Amino acid sequence: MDDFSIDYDNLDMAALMAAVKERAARRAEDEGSPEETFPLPEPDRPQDSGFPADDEPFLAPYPDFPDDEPGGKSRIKRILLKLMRPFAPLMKLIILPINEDIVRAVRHLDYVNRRVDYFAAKSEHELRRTDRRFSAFQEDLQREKDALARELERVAKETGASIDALDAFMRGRMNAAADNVKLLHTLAHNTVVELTKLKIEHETLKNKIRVMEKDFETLGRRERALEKKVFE
Amino acid sequence: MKLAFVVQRYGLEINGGAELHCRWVAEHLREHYDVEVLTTRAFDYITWKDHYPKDEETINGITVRRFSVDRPRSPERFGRIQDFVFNRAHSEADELRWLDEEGPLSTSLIRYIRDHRDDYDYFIFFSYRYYHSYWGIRIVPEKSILVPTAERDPVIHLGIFRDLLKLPRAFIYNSHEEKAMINDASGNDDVPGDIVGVGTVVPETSSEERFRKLHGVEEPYIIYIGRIDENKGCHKLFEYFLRFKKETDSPLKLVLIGSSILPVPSHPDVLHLGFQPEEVKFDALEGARILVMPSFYESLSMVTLEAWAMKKPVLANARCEVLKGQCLRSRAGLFYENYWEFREALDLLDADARLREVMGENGRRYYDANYTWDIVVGKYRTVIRNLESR
Repeated sequence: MDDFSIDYDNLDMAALMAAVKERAARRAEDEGSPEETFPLPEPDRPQDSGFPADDEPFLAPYPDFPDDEPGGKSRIKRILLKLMRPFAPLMKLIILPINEDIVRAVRHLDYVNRRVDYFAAKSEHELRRTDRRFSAFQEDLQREKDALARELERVAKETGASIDALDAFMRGRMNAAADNVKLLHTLAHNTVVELTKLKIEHETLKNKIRVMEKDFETLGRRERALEKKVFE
Repeated sequence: MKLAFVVQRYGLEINGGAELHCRWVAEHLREHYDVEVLTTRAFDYITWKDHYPKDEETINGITVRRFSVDRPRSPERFGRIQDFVFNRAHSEADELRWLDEEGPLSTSLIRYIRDHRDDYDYFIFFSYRYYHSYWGIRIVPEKSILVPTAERDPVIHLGIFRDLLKLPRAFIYNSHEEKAMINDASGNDDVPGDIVGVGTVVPETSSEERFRKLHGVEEPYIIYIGRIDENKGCHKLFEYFLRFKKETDSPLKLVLIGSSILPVPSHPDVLHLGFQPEEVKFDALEGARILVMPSFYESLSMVTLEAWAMKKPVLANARCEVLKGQCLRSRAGLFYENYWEFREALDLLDADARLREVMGENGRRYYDANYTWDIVVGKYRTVIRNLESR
């Protein structure tokens, strides 16, 4: 810290911090690029936000599929059976324990049972979560309704009008808006009908043109045939 | 004269910033006024569930009236609404819905204020952002004094608070930066107020040796005191300190006191002692070379004031305007914006004992001038006297 000149009797914080920053910038250049200075992130989280982002996740582990038999014993057995494939049923009967297939079947059944348990638990969890969300949605709707009522009260208080008068006024405006919407709907409907008629007429005219073209071609051919007969 | 302190939670077990701040101020003003506290039954600040069973009790000589919370906060629903209100176009009704969800939603507390407004001369509301302040101030604006404890977060920019912050008779701010932020957000420059903060008391004697012996710490160390949380910038502190240790041959250790929400790195030079009694805390502070404050959000930072009262310099996060401003005004702390500045500032403070001593003295002078209880109580009394004379 030899390059720091500090007046201890009258600390100049601005100068001291400028010196610290300058040294930091120099060291950053010497030892790493300035981009590697690990700037602190902008504060982006409000105080008191210690709530989970989503529902509690379903954390039960998915059951592991059971090994046929643990370790090398199973591998050796598989190799042995592969080598003696033609005599495998006989070998299995003579050499291997007679209950092996039953044990394996039981193990698989156990695995199936655990999977069923797992999916049952998961379904129940999903059901609960859906139920919670539905309740939250219902409460949101209720809150929305309450907020609107409060807003109405506030406006009534500010304007000095009675809530009934405001309510009647709002209802009148809403009815007028509803009538306008109905009119617009009828207009849109009529426009669609007229457009459909026009389209049908357009198609008819197109067909007529096609028929006339055909007639024209036929007449042309007839003209040429008559001319031929005439000149023969 | 009768004062009512209105706060979201209250109790000896509650160590939260604004709540503790409120309790300390109420207890110190008790000598001069008839003081009561109006609060909820909540203890848990995530859900605000009713916890305290009694309607009324006396804590350190102060009558505390508790009111039930209508319904606890649903963190999931609150998160959803907050996300919507902070990030999408929304209406005033949405913001009021957010306020209801944030809570603590205690309509009985608000009704009590309405029905007993004449029983109190002034209502001192703590924390502008909660339900009790928003509706309480609207009911008794002519009798309300607000201690906003505001931080630079999106809440300050919500429309519902713009008008609210113009309503109180007076403000008690924690810092110059908080005042400037609230003035900018609401244009309430004409509402009187003062920058007061909170007082703190440090023990007359503390023992570095006792701490070192108790926890087997022999090397020099720096200290962080507070909740170990990402919001407090602790993740960056760990990253910077471990890198500092890797790149230098400094023998410094990092001592952490406070409950942990964030995993603490397992490293021989990082000592996490968990929550400790006040006596151990001050013993530890006595032995520390500096206090580190990596927090992004502080409206005051009581522990920083305690460090200065103990003549310890502070190394603070420059992204927190309040901490940076306090360091500059007190001339008792350095600050950093990135790793390199952290390293240089820590190097400087670690190597220069005289600088530490001078900064420590500056810190103590700043504390004596602004944050002893005599000063703080005097400022509160002046604010109230000025209101009376208007």
